[in-house]
Amino acid sequence: MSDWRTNPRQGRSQFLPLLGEVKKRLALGETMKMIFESYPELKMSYAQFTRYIKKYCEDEIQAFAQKTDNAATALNNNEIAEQVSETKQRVRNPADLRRLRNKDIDLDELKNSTGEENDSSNS
Amino acid sequence: MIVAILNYTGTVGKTTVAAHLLSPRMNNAPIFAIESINETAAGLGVDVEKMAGNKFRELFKRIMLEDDAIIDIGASNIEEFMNNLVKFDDSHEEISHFLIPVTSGTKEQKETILMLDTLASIGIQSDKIKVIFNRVDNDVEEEFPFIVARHRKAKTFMLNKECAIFENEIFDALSIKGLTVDALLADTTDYKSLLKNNKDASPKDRNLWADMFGLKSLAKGVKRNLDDVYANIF
Repeated sequence: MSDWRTNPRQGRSQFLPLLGEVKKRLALGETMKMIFESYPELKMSYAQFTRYIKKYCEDEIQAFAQKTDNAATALNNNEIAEQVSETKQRVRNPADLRRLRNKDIDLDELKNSTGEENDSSNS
Repeated sequence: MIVAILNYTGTVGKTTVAAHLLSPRMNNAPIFAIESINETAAGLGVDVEKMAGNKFRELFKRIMLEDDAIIDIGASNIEEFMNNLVKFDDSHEEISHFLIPVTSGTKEQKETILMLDTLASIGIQSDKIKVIFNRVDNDVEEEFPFIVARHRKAKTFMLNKECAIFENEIFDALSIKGLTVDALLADTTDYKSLLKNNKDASPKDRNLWADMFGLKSLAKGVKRNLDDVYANIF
């Protein structure tokens, strides 16, 4: 381990300003890994990041786990997979936007896929 | 109510929606055209303020000062507009509805799906994202199979098959005359009487009167269609 006197710890001071945003993202179902990777400027290991999350975001983790348990009973596996995939695509900056813009859409697959019975939201 | 009309692809009827559908039914709300290349609703005799996509902060300020406004985002500026929508955190909250006109071509439907996915990924609620089917011949389900299938797969936007503007030659004809459907119907000139009582008038005038009489007759049905679409969108 490096000497704290010559290499002072900065992790907590970098993590805490992001706490509000991290909590919101956890509540929306993003994984700790996804959140960590979206902050490349953080000078800490992933393991340390998860320790901070466990310490400061305990309520959010529990609330989301409870919500997921309840939702799982109502949703089938495909729906869950789709929700996860939608969440992963969340746009946070112009680079995400460009990635999504260039996404390929398989029209054949789309046309042949089955969905929910009611295909009209408000008619 | 602040309404944005947008799509990644051009020529799907964004300006038609702004000028013919929304503006007359929103107390002639101001139209902000985010456009640098293509024609805007100003060509239809509607008041339009033209702005570049990179003046987002200015646009944002302007819409905060208006109760009602229409933002017509041209395809030439859409990427810049979307970048700014992401950069300015929660700016989408200030827009009441995102209307996405679409025509039935495969490319147009594909680009529309990307547009719908992008708006949902920014975090815009599904009930604020609405598709308008434009240039419909007969049947939405038959002509827009990919949009309908996308909606079946995930309800990230609102789809109402009644939001269909039917194909009509009047829109092209009015773009040449620089008029909207409502402006045409507000014209009280009795073109039929003019034709009947001025048989010696110049062929040019008589031709114009006959043309206007035909267009006014066509406009009544189109107005009914637009009224129905408006009632179903909001």
